[in-house]
Amino acid sequence: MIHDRPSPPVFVLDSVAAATPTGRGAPADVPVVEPRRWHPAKEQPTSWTARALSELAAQLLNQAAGPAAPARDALLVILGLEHGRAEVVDKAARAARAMGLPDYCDPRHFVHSVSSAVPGQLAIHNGLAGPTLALNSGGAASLDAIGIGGLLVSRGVAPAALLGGGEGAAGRIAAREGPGAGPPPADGAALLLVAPAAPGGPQTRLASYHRGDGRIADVAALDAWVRAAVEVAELPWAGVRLLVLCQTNALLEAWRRSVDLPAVVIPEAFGDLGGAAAAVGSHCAHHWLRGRGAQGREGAAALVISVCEGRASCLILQRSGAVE
Amino acid sequence: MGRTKTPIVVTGYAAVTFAGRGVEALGRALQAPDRDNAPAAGYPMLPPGARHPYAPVVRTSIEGDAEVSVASLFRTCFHDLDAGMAVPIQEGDMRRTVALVGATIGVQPRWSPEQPPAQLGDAVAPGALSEATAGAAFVEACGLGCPYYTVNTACASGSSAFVLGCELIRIGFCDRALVAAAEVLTFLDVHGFRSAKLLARDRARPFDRRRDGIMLGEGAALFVLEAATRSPEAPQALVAGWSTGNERHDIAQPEPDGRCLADTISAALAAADVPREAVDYLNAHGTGTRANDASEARAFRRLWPAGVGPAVSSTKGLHGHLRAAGSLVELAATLWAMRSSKAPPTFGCHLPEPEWGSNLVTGAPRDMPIRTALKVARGFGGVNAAIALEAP
Repeated sequence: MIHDRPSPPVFVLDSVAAATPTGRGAPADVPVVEPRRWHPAKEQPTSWTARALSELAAQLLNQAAGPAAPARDALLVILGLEHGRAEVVDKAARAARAMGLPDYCDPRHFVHSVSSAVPGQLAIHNGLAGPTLALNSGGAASLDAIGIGGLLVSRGVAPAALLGGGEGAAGRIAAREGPGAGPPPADGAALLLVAPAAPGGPQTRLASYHRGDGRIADVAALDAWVRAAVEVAELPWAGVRLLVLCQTNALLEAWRRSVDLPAVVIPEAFGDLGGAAAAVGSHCAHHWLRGRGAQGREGAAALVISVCEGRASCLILQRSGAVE
Repeated sequence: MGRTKTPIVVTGYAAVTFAGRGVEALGRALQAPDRDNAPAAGYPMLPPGARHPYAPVVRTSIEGDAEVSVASLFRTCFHDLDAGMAVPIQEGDMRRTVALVGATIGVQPRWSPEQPPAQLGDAVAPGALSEATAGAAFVEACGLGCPYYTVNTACASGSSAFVLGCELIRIGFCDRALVAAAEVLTFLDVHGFRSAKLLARDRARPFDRRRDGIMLGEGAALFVLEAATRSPEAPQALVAGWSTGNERHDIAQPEPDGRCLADTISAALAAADVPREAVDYLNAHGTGTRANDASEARAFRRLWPAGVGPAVSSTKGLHGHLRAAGSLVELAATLWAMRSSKAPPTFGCHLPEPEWGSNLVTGAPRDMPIRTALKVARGFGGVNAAIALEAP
């Protein structure tokens, strides 16, 4: 397993998200956009994921406009995508079936069926010429995208980055080969604008990123792993004020009960967002940490955690700066 | 994306292609003379005007394996690689090792021309469309206990994974990166490229006047990247510099004038601190489509005037277009070229477009010392990548 801290520090300058709160556990003051607005018309070959992330990027870059705005020529884009392509492949298969053509795949669907079409569409829509990447590590996809991207910005590989991920419900429904257990799939996407320096006021620092190797089997191992992560981030455990859990599974639930901290469980708060859960969760943590309440204390931290099949990933976000 | 002052080296690499197991088998195939009317490997040549029922494809088999799969390709590559390392992979520091797997698709059923046509919806395993299944297949097939990430930039995925591996070593995230990609023919590939009319009639002819599309293939490659100062292995090559960018032009079509690709190549050479006239050999993306090869040739012309510049070839006309695995297999071919001092020919190219032809290697390998080489790749989504290698 690997632990790393962005040094020099990097900050979340701003974030945007599209998700539908269920009213069960999402922080009340976290701004989210209604996801329905980006559902592509039936004849469009693209996916909800691609449309939502392109529009969210436009919104984020417009908000960041000004002399201090990051240059679009060198902006790094890393998107965590898990099942986004399944939506387009499903569309292609339905179209071929409707046409009665046994071995046909509409070329418009085909070119959008690859995951790299999502960051590609985002780049075209927003005129971005820097590196673009789709990263997929399953349920931790967007967490890893943010973690890796934050480190790359910190070490000067890119001056700033758009990091996050998206997952349309249609893609997850198409990818399910039977009735799934747990919360129903939902549309969700979020992007963070990350850069080394931040203007004044309360900030969210990407304190550290951690990736396990698939050997976490019980609560004790998970607890030891998470506490090691907090130590690497040079935080006191008492500074951890919020947990953001990307999945609902027995291991995470048992660990959550054992540590007794406030938690946002993304599948309960927004539905099953698949690989996008950590992007939406990081957006929640960012706004929660910047808030004026007790949570907004200098040094307060939020842990975004994903555990899938024994593979753990963790991102630690920390409040930096006093309330304005 | 990056530049390196911390030397990163390739300490091991392996490949499985239609030519068989190992880079040596690929090297033997790369040395064979390329006749104009030769069929694509493993496929009968058609009479004029005839069409294959689907398309020319280059299939790969592994001795002893009844059915080639993504997992068996990974396993074979890893076994061959490990056998050639002074220190077996598992005995290295797995805590500081990361696997980066290039993938355009997850682990899907293999397509074969003998099967009856199948509806896309019946032939695709939707739950395994996620590329993460390819990453999981790699670490499981090779028995590796290390974190893995799956990288998708379509047909540039292998190069993007390689570049990300270099970056992660350079920034100190890990000490060693295992960079891999494997592709078998899938229904989505064959139905998709065929429906998009991107498949060649008889064989891929990169940079040839008669080029009319790609030739799909199967195979895999695996590279070990390490910081030079930490490695007990003798370096096979130095990764001198790299760069990636987005052409922000179209999801599937390359930027026609090649400007962005030329910028990416320039950035990789600047990162490597290598003047462009010092590049000896360039392994092109060279798919054999009308649009890619024209755009790519224009990018090269922006950097090197007619009659000067590196020897250029595309090897896709031999082993086929391997999607995610393509650029890694071609990096293996590039390293073979450096080691053997032979620039491989552009298989399938016998009537080069006149304005591009001066630097193209055609017909037979060109004997020449290759100290510095470039690998260029492109993928759907507008991604391009360039990697500069130097002999150790």
